Amino acid sequence: MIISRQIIESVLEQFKNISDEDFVIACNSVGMEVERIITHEQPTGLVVGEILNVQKHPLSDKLSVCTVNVGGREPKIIVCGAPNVKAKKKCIVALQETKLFDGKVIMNQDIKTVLSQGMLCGFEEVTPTNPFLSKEDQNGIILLDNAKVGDKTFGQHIGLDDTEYEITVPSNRNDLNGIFSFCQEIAKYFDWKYFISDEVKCSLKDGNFNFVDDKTCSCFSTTEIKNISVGFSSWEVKKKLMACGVTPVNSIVDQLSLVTTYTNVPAAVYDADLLPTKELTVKRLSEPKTILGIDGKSYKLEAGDIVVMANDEIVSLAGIIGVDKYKVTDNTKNILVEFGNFNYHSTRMTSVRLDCFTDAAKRFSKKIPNWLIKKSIELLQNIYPNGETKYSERNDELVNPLTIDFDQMDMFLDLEMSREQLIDILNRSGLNVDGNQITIPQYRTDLTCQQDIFEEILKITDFNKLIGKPIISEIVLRDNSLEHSLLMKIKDTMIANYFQETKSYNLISLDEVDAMNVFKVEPTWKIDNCNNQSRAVMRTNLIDSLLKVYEFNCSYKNDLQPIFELQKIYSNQVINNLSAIVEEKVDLDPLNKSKIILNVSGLRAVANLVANELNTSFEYFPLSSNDFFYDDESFAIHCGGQVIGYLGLIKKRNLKEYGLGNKKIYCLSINLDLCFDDYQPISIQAKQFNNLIPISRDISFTTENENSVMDIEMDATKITIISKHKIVDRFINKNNSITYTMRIWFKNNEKIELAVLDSYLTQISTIITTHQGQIKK
Amino acid sequence: MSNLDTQKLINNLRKSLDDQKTEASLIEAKNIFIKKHLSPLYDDLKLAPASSKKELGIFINQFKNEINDTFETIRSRLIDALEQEQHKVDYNIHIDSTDLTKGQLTPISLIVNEVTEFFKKINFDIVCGDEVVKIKHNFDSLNIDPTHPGRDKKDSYYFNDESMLRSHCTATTALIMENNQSHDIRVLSYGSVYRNDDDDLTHSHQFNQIDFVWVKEGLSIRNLKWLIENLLKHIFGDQAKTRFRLSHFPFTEPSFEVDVTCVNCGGKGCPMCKQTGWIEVLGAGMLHENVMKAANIDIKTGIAAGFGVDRFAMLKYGISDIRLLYTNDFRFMNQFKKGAK
Repeated sequence: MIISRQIIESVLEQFKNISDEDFVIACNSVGMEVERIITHEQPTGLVVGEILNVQKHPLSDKLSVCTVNVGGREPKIIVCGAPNVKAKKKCIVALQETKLFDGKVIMNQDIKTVLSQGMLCGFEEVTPTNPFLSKEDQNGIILLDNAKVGDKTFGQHIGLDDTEYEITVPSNRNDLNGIFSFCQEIAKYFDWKYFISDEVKCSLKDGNFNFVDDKTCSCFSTTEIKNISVGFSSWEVKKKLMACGVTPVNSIVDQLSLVTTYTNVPAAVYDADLLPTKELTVKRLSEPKTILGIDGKSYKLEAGDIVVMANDEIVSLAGIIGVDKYKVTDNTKNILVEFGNFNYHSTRMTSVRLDCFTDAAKRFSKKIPNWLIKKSIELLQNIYPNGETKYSERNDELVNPLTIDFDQMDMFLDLEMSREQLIDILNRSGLNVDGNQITIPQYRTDLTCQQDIFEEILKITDFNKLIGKPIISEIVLRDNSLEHSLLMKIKDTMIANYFQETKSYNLISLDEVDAMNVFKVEPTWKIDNCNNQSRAVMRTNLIDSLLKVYEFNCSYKNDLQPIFELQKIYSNQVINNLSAIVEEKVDLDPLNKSKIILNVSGLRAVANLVANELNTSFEYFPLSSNDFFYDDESFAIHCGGQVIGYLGLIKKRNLKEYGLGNKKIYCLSINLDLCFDDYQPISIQAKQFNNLIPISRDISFTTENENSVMDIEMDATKITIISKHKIVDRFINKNNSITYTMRIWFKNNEKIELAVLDSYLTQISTIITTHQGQIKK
Repeated sequence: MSNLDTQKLINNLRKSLDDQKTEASLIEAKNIFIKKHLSPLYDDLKLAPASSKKELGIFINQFKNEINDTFETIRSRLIDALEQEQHKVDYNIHIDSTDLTKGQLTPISLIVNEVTEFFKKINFDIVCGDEVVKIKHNFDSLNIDPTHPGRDKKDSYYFNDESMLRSHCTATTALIMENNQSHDIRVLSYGSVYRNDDDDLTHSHQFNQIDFVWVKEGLSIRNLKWLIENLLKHIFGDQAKTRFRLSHFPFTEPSFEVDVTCVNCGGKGCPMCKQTGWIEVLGAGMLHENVMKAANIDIKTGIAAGFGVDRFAMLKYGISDIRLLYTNDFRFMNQFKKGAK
């Protein structure tokens, strides 16, 4: 909301001595935030004049020739095009050589044969445009009543000497959007004696409004005011409204708007003579209807919308907007003013659905206590003492007293204050304390529990000056962070192996569901209230998103780098999924031409590192007839006998959709939850080991049959003295035969004679030759 | 013998040794010198009368030491030079070569790690929880009544009458608190949350939050202040000042919005902080009694707070567009690599 310093001062005189800085601190302490402080530059070089007479311009229908007294010997002749120019009124004049704030310099000027000796100023010539300027003032000049001719400091007449504060109030204190409640909170902070009385001084006739209930309308009133005249408000009224962020309309609406700025309760006003009846009712529509609002727009109402009716005619959409047909015009003589407290939830839902966010709709979209409605009627009756008001309310809106545990309060607040001091603060807040019972005033329907009362004390205690107190606590053994720590371990493993983490959106369109759906998971979680088709469903795989990252970066010609995402995917089950993609080769050092090869073998190494972190191991089985990967370069990843993932080279036809058809991209995708569920901390036992230097021999042999190598290895294991063996080299000869080098380690628990060793080598040679191998000398 | 000019001889030795290119030739040159100039002195010593033997012995020893010192100095220098020669490599340091920087976490993970590091020290459980949650945990358990604007379909994503995408991590915290019998519940939840919002510079339909509660009998608002101030110092540095502003959230009472001195201007006032010198970073408060009741917990006091990880990342790393956190542009992401050029 916007509130002006002068308005606050009109309620709280002491506010004159409070600086903006102290005001900001006060607002913060009581739960409000000053978002912006607006001040105005005082215009210079302008002077107040009096329009002595107005004549029609001889050559123009739209221009007037005015004689204006500016306090000098001779009045000035000024040509003016404003429609509201009027004799005997004071105005603001820019004379020869006056420089306006926008840089424009006023010079004597011949306007269609008449020499104009200056300019009569509108608001926009005096100060930068105010967003709340009325239509009349956008086109017209400023006309003043009380200014003094020749005066050069006239800013106070149009509100330029005021300061405006843009303030956010807590969402549960809609009443603070009204000046009364606002000032009450500020007065409480500064310890000034200012209380809004629960008592309302107005005369109310029973309205017999039997529609008043807690689901539609908790109170309702109509006030008939006769013999009014509609015109434009004076600048005294307009400057107050504009400084509170309200655009003036006409003398009737502006008076009601002033009431609203004080109470936060908007009024609806109708031309009483146009209404079919003055007996209004409130009801929820039973069928759709269309209305034309006073803003000239058509609104399609639905069954359930709350409307105010006169006989069978809708006269307003309750709390949101009036119907154009019954609005107050320049010809209006009698008015009917309505104050109602409509169901705020319904009001908000209807205004959102219709995209109709009038000032009334904003104020009525949150709870308002009935007490403020009565306070509004009181103000209205002050303005129009002859108005007759009919009123009905639901009478169960009484605030129950609260019981307070003062020991709990001491512990909770820890302010080191005596009981008397605490009670004093509560009294200062308008709360009446009797033993451990606290009576809540009607205007504080937000106080519903003990903690609300604690907060009232905090408002007066400057929380920012309190010193924090360390929490004394015991160390508790906790074991609920396992998932987080495993996720972190896996991320660390990935980044240690040159993979960059990515983060992408989980909601995708239905068209994207099947893209790279390697686990063939049906999408389960579809958004019910989807208003953006690109966010229709929770994704079931991460590979599609990763490929889109590559697509995006390719479009900017960025070098591709290995990437991964670790994120839960949602189907019938919720599963932590790790997916990674990479171009086959990753440059490490271009100068030395060193690269890491991250093909299936490289990705398998990465997957094994992940398995290590999870204290498990993966097995890999070749895939065949897969939609996404090439058969000879893809594997299903198994853990504990179940398929938990895939790794492989993505088929070009899949990559083409991402504009990556010319690239060789490998992918790894693992569902980790099985590993998480079975996670066991590893227990390692050191074994005794042989302290002797191991004895090994290399034997090279050539074979044309690759399968025989496996047979040779198998037979070699039958020689009991061999502890282990390994193929350490493989070389393809010119004649396509292959030479292998097998390294054999002997068990050397005891001393072995060379002759014995040779005899075993002979045995191995025999095995090799038996399997068509040829020993290489 | 005292007529022998040892200084001159040593200079000759130095010259001779300086000319040598290998350690072997250096030793050889030394041996030749010894044979020529030192060994004859030992012969003289044998023949010298007993009266001058002692003096001659001392002279020979001094000469020998000088030879050895000279040799060792030059040998050490030669070995250094030879090693340097062996390691001579024709590199040009200006050529952009090795790029051994590893992968890197996203700015979001970096912030999460930084915050969880703080909470691990004070013994918190760290959980990420599911993003699909029960409406009950996202709203009802948190004292957010059915008419609250945040429950509007235009604001949150719903799957059906029971489930939705969590709109805050407090939904996860509420689930963990439910029926929790511990007398000391300390839990931090983090991860993606969702709002039915249009994406722009500062808004994203998916973003990240961290939320934590410490439920324990006897906690006070001064404890809350201590915890929040220390957390913000951990993240923004010891120089960061904090400001608490009373506010309203349905699940805490009292509630605070917490500001830190503007990271851009240091509190002087700039467009980023709207000339206030403060930047709002966090919401906090004492858990509302209705939240305790909904969770079926007997404990009366609890501290709670939550904040947007994306916003923290934007403030800390000077990121002006939240969408950069989700487009994964390598030009942006590579800046977060340690040692990035």
